[in-house]
Order: sequence, then C-alpha cells, then structure tokens
Amino acid sequence: MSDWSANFRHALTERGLDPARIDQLDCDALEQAADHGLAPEQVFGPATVYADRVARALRCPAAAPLPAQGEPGCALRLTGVSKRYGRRQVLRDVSLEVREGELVAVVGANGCGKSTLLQICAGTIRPSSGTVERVAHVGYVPQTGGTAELLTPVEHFQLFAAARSDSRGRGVAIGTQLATSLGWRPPASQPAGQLSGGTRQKLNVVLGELSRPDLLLLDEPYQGFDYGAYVDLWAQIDRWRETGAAVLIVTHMLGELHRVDRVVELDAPKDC
Amino acid sequence: MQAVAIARATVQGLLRRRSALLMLVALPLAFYLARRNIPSSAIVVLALGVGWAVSTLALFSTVSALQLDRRLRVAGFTSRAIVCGRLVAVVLVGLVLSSVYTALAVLDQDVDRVGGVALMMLCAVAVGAPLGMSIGLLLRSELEGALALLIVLATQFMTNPERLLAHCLPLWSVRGVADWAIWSGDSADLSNGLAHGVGTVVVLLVIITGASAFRLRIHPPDRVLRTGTQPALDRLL
Amino acid sequence: MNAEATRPWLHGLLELCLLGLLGAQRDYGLSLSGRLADAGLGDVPGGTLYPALLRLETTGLVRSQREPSTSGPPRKYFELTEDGRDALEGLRAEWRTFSRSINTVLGAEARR
Repeated sequence: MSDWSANFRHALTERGLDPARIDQLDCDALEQAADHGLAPEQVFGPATVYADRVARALRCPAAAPLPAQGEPGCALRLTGVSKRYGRRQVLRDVSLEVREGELVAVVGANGCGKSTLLQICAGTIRPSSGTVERVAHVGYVPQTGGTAELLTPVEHFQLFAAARSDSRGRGVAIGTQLATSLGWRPPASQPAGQLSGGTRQKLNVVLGELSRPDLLLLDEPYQGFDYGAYVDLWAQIDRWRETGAAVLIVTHMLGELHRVDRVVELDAPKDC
Repeated sequence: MQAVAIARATVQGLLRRRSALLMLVALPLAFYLARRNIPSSAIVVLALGVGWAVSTLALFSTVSALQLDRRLRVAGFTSRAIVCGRLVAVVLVGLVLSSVYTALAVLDQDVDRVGGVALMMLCAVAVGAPLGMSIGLLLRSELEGALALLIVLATQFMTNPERLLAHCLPLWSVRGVADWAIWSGDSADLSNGLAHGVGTVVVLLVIITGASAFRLRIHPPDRVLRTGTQPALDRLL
Repeated sequence: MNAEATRPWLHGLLELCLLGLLGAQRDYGLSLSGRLADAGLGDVPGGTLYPALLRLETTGLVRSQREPSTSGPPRKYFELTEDGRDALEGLRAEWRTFSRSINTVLGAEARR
C-alpha cells in the first residue's frame, strides 16, 4: 500500500500540485480505499493513471469565460497566398481567416505545405504572391527547433520574458503556471535537451503562449504527448479561445476536429 | 533589455558544454607549449590560439542558435539585440580567457610590455568573435563553418607575416601589435596593427549586419490588424 | 446488461447521475457506488468515480465535508451546492428532451 501511495504522491508532484494539496488527496484516497475494504491499487487502478485523472479533475476551468465584446475582430487573414520554390509549387492560392476566439485547423497530406503556410503566417517566409494580414502580437510554436537544447526550462522562461520587456521573475511565474496547466512541473536543473520528447514539446507550447499573444500558431503541437497531455492541450486551447485569442493549428491528428471552428484543407502536392 | 537576456542565455548555454569549453581553453595552451622555447613566438601563438578558440565559440553558438533565433524574432526580439547579445557573451568569455592567458604569459615569460600582450589578446578576441559569428551566419552549418574557420586560421598561422596574403587574413593585427609589443617597440607597427584590427572588425560587423538582416528577417504583414480585446498580459491573471 | 455497450454511455453521463443521486441525498463515495449498482448501472470503478466527484467539486456544483464515522476512518461526504441544484434541474430537463429524441429515432421498441 505504501508503494501505491508513494507513486501517487510522486505523480502528483510531477503534475505541479502543491504539497498541502497532495497530502490531502493522498489521505482521502487511502481513507476511501479503506472504506471499500480493498487496497488502493484495486480501487483506483495504477497510481500514475489515477494521479493524472485527479490532477486534470482539479484543473477544470472554474471561472466563467469573458463576455464577448461585440463582433470579434480578425486576427489573421491570408488572401490568395501562394509559394513556389523554383519549379516546385508548395502552396497554391490559399485563403483563410481566423477571428478572435476562433480555432482553425489546417489539415492535409504530408508534404502539402502545412508548415510552410504556418511560417508564412508567422512571417519567417515571404509568400510568392498573395497578402498576409495579422495582429502584431503573435505566438509561434514551431514543429522543430523551438527550444534551446542547453537551457533549462526556467532559463527559457527568463529569456522569452525579455521579448516584451517582462521582468524575468514574472516570466518564470507565468511560465510555471502555464506548465501546470499542461500537467507539468519544470525540473530545476535539466536542460531542455535532456527532457523527454513529450515534456520538451510542452515547454515548446508554453513558450509560444508565454506573452499571452493575440494569435497562436501551432505546428503539430502534440508530438510525443501521451493521452493525458493531449487532453490538457485541448483544454488549454479552449482557454485561449475563451480569452479572445485566435488559434491556428496544423495537425495530422484528426480526432478532435469537432471542437474546431473551421478546417482548411491543403491540396496534396502535385508533381510539377 | 533584450540584448542582456540573449547574452545571459548564451553564457548559460556555453557553460553547459563542459568538455567543449575545456578543449577550447586548452587550445591556446597547446599552441603555447609547442613554442614555449621560442619566447617571442610563444606569446604570439598564444594570442592566436585565443583568437582561434573565441572564433570557434562564436561559430558554434551562432549556428546552434539559428532555429531558435528565428523563433525569438517572431516572439519580438530584434535582430540587433540577438546579434549584439550573442557577440557580447562570446567576447566576455573571450576576455576571461585572455586575462588568464595574459597572466600566464607575463608570469612565464620575460615580457617588456605587459600592456602590449594584453592588447594582442584584445585584438584576438575583438576579431575572433565577429569572425566566428559571420562565418556562422553565412554558412549556417557547423561542419562547413568549422572547416572554413580552419582554412582561414591555419593559413594565418602558417603564412609569413610579411606577405600580402597574411595581411588579408583577419588575425594579422595580433602579429602587427606583437611586432611592437615583443620586438621592435616601433609605434608605427602598433598603429599598423591596430588599424588592421579595427578595419577587420568593421568589415566583419558589416558582414554580420547584412547576413543577420537576411537570415533573421521577419516579413512584416501587408496590413497590421488591431484587436479589440484587453491587453494580453492581464488575461486570466 | 451488456457492459461493453453501456460503459461509454455511462462515462458521458456519470456526472449527471452523481448530481441526481446527491440531489436526492448527500452521500459518500462507497455508498454512491452502491446506489449506482443498485440502479442497474453496474460497478463503476473508484478510478472513475472519485475524479468525477472531484470535477463536480472543482466546478462548484458539489461540496465535500469530512465526517468522523463510527465504523472506521473518517469519511468524505458530498452534497449539492445551490449551483449544483440549479445545474441538476437544467440537466434533468435537457435529458428529458434528449432521451425522447433518441427514443423516437430508435423507434417504438425502445420505449419499453
């Protein structure tokens, strides 16, 4: 029984709960199991799975969403955007619009230019033709290369906080809080390169939303996520929408598309 | 300030690559020990070694940060802050390295002009850092960059400093100042050396400015949209 | 009852059922589990039941209280808050409409 309890506590600590709360939850669990007259393992299942469920149950948004303020403005608009590299046409005449509080998904076969489209939205690539209109404050979560291998998560928060002249302390506080929403506590001294793939990707996502941008661009954000983290991310996306941020997400995983306001499909690559 | 944050992050990252740091520190020492019996030559190669180490440091920290830098640009950092911050970080590490080695040279050798040795080291650091960074921005690859650096620096080492070819290579200022500090005491040598150093630094900074503007550019949107909601940082906090 | 078919349905409706049970009477975890089983909904494992109760508590529909029990360790009792009662009323009405629609779609047989 003590093993289950130790695993439970450890898993809850990893998910960012504070020690007093963990004590209370552990105590409750042991009492409830005693009530059933069974070992905790038999009542609740494996400790890490139960801890995951409990942590997520505690993270439900309790606050009501902000009231809608009139007609939501547009945060991103692409009109007739095309991109060609030499003879290779990567994007052909793409138009889309994302308003405040909306979630738009970009889907399509591999190689059809989803990442290129997102980079055009972020401004790192210029389109060959078409216009791009967007808000000034953008958060970008790239598929690769979004984190520095040799910096710890906290050092990342301090660095990204300086982008919009936030104090380092505030950046760390916000970053840690956002990490907790994704069910993760930043380890103190591990550089990003030593984190597991899923955890590193969570850091990647947190960095994109650190300055609370008006537009969020996510490129396949759930690489390496287990089911719990995947659920947490979608809950976090809902929170962004409730606060009026616009979200554009490039995705392979089509399971959650019913939660999306609109889907943009890119054509499969044609051989020129 | 943005540049300060970049400088801090660069130093934090550099200090984590322990074995690489160790080897870079050992590089000038190895050169020095190789020529220790020829005192005048020993200090020159020590300074050149410092320049080599600093430029390699600058090259690798630039190349390894290229993807992150793009993201930092989208997040709101200016390319000037990114370049300046990284350069300052590498120069700081170089200055620490060079003070240690200046002390070594002064203690181990019989040196007339301590200030001259310090000046040689300063040239090495001041030229080495932007040299490594410009190669990193132009070639964008660690292997190719390291090879290019190797070609430039090894040629610098092996060319007779009198020749025109040596004058065209970036670290010649170290030799020029050495002429004054260790051998002749002729102030014309000093001004030649410093002029070459300053000129090289200016050229390299121009290259860096151009290359970073190209590599780190963010294309502004055709129109900037305005939102109607509250300021971002107050949401949910 | 075929557990394979009904378990996913119950997963979606578990919080509604708990609101209903607590609306009738404040209760603790083990007893709620028993009442669900008595109603024919099978054995809901603790790993599902307790997080559902926690979610209801976090969203403010339910509050919990520790009470010493005569036979064994103290127990955590749950009861509806005002918001919980309102929510239950609303959900009851929605369920009535919804189940009527499902019955219609499934045909007269389903109404037995």
